Order: sequence, then C-alpha cells, then structure tokens
Amino acid sequence: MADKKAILVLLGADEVADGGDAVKKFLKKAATASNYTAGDVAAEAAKVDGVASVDIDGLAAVMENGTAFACVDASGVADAEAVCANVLAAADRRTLVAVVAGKAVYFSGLGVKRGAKPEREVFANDIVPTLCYVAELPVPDDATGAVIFQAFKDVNMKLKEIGKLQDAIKRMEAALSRGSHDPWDKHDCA
Amino acid sequence: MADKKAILVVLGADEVADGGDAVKKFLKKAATASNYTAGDMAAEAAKVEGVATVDIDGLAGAMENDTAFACVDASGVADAEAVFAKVLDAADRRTLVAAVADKAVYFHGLGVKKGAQLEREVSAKDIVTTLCHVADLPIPGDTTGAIVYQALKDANMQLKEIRKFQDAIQRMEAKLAQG
Repeated sequence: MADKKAILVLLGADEVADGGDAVKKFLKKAATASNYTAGDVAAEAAKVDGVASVDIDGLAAVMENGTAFACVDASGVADAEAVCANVLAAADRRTLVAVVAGKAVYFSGLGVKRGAKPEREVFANDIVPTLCYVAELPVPDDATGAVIFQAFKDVNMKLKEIGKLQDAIKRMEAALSRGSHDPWDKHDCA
Repeated sequence: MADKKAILVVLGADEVADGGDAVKKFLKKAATASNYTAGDMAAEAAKVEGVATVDIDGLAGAMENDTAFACVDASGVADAEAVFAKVLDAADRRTLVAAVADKAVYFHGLGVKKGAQLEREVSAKDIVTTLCHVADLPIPGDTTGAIVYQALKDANMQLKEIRKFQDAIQRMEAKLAQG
C-alpha cells in the first residue's frame, strides 16, 4: 500500500492565474516558484519507477488504486478550474502535488509551506528529484536536479523522520526485551 | 554520539594527480567528478549547523571527539600526500569524505561508488548538499545545490533506510501485539 504519494501535472499556460473556487483553493495552499525555467519534465517523470501516466479525468481513480506517483499531461486542457478541481479531488493528506506551468511551478500538499514564494531559480530537472525526495519515490539514476527545499515547511524533514523512526525502534526494542523475560524475572520474589 | 560523519577538505591544486601511497589509496576508492565548477566551499560549509573548522593536523583529533562534520582548509598545504594520509587516518567506515580541488571533486567512503567517473556537471553548492544528505547532517535552509546521486552506490540509499526502519517497526509491532 502506498503511503506518501505524488502527482505531477503539466499545464499549457504560462502560469495559474486567479480562477474559480478550485483554482483559488489550490493557490491558497500552494508554494509558488515563479523563477522557473521550463523543460521536459514529462521525460524525467517517465524515468521514475512505477509512474502512472494518466489524463486528468483518470487521475482520481488511479490515486484511489494505490498509485504512488501519477503524471498528468494537462497541457491540452484549457480549463484550469477543471484541472485544479480534479487534482484536489485526487490528492489526499499525504499527497504532494506539483503543478508545472510554462513560467511557474506550484507545490501543494505533503510538507509544503503554504503561501511560500521561493525566489530561487527552479529548473525543470529539479521537479522530479523534489517529488521523489519528499514523497519517498525512487529517484532516477541520472537525476541531476536539486530538491526545492524552500517550498517546504522543514528543510530537515527527512532527517527528523529518520530520527523519529530510530527512536521508535529503540523504544520498541526496550519494550520487547522487557516482555521477553519470563514472568519470574519481572517480580522480585525475594 | 555521532553516527554518520562527513569531512570536507578544500585543496589548493587543480586536481589530485598520482602521488604517494595515501593519495593512491584514496583515489582508488574515490568517485571522481571532473566536470566541476569551483565556488566558495568554505562559506557553504560554514552554514551547516555544528560544523567544526579545523586544520589538517587537528582533523583526527576533532573526528575522534565525535565531530559529525569537519571542514578542513588545506589549500595552503602543498603536500597532497600528507593531506590524504591524515584524511584517511581520521575517516572511519561511516565517514563520507569530499576532497575538493579547483577542477575536480573526489568523494570517498560512506555510500560512495568506488571508481565512479562522473560526467555530469557538479557545482560547489552541490558538495555540501550531498554531504548533508548522505551523512544525515542538517541541511542549511537556503540550500540550492543538488545531491550528486551519481557518486553514490545507490541513489535511493536514504529511501531504503527509511523502508528498512519502517519494516523493523512493523515486525516489532506485530511481535508486541502478540504479547
């Protein structure tokens, strides 16, 4: 069962401007990188193990089916409102969404710092490594992009997660070693 | 107590050529990126929380003292052999070393793919990001560098580690539930 998930949406427009309710809702929670240099994100996404390429109408069903990473080419869909509505319906709390327009990238969901506007340069080859890093997908071997840490709440989220897991293991090891004693070890009968 | 560790060594030369035994030993196990664009390494490294800036003679002592990340400016030391002998002495099995010359970078140790020759471009800011990622060091907030996955044995090292921990937790939870 997939745990964290990612959705990549490629748009035809230069940016996502104000629109209907779905667009507004999406933008409100998104981190927006406007210093973006476009490139072939779809080709890099195709290299991620287990990626599902779907159209926007099929997205919700695919995510429902336990897909860990879906790539949607919505560049032919003119209606941004319909795209955002479908994306919002398909994404759950543990889903990272990247919507890539011609001149801006929008991250939303898992770990994202709402309303952040990173000024740093973002390149097309940064998108897939960022999705992989945050949503714990296997990164393609030839990835050269950078993780866009500035779009996220905590730059050290992975480090903290690893620390948390290690702590949990230690606690459980301690609990198991207590439990493995025979009953007479637990009680001081002397 | 520090677990994984990293050492960054800034060299004065353009590259590390063949040298004595220490240089040879280091290069044999290193991943080399020759398409390297230099930058202010020391400034990047200084942003990492807990970094210890030491000279090459103080390196072994600092690492012995549980330093998780040491930055050594050896650009004034002409003798590469002496530098690498000290680096090899200070690094243990869980230490990632990046030796940064002006035109090449050499990764060595923890998680490194031995003998890899990287063709991709590597910039100065990528080095610290890679060290932090591999050695579990806190990443500076303004990091824009990329992880140099190609120098590593496994691009998904961290992912596999997380999965391993999650599996262990699941197994232990099952065992605890059994009583």
